[in-house]
Amino acid sequence: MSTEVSNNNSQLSQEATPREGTRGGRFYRPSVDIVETKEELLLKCDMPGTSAEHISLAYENGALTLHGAVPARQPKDMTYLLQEYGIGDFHREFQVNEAIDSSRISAEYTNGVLVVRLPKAEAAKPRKIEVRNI
Amino acid sequence: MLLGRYSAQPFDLLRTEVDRLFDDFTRTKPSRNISTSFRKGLRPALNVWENQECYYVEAECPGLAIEDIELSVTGNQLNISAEQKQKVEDEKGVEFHRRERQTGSFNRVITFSTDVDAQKVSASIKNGVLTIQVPKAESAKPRKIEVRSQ
Repeated sequence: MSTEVSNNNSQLSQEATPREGTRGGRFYRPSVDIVETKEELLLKCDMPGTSAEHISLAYENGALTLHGAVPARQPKDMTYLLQEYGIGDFHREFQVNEAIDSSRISAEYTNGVLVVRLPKAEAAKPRKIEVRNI
Repeated sequence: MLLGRYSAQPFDLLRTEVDRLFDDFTRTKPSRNISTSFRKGLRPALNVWENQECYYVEAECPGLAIEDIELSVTGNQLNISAEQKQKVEDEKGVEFHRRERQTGSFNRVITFSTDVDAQKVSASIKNGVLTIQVPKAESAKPRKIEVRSQ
């Protein structure tokens, strides 16, 4: 796990800010899309080559940690004619500054894309307040 | 340590391609066994390796299913293209906090230095990883020649 987390909590923006930690070993940073709707935060993460069993996902105190182990899939001792990408485990952490109903977080993995749904807590949903004439 | 996903930078590729052009021009022995085009950018990134029988081409195509991908072989060229459909959440009332994933169509052509057996090319996609097996033509395979003693 990360030994040092630099995190800008003072930022009031609701944007999920990345937690960049110092880590041993080599990990790849997967590309993500984070979309916010009225109901939820939707995170889509490109993690080709892993599988649901190899992905670990944790949410604690607003920190969302994604880890995808990628088993070796190419024969050893071969030389590439062309190598444009590296293969290794994926890792990324986010700080979610939004009230999330953590009991309802769900995730699925299809065609190499991990989709995480973070439903907003009732208190964080936008509410329209009616003004009555008296 | 967090690494960028793709090691090959556009300028490296440009240099490689220019080197290849000069190699072809001077008609020396080709410095490498394959070449690729990247007219529409670097997608998908490719890893290519070979053994005596086959070339193996691997591409990471997260979000694509096998029916989205079109493969064709012409001579000793393999063409990979895909049309990625627009995503559902491109609607009003949503806000993007991150938008890093690459989408849209792509096309790449790989040219092998030897003839290939177009009839026997096979491809599969699993968890967003496309693997293509391109068998070499019989004439391109190394042949062991027995030496008889008299």
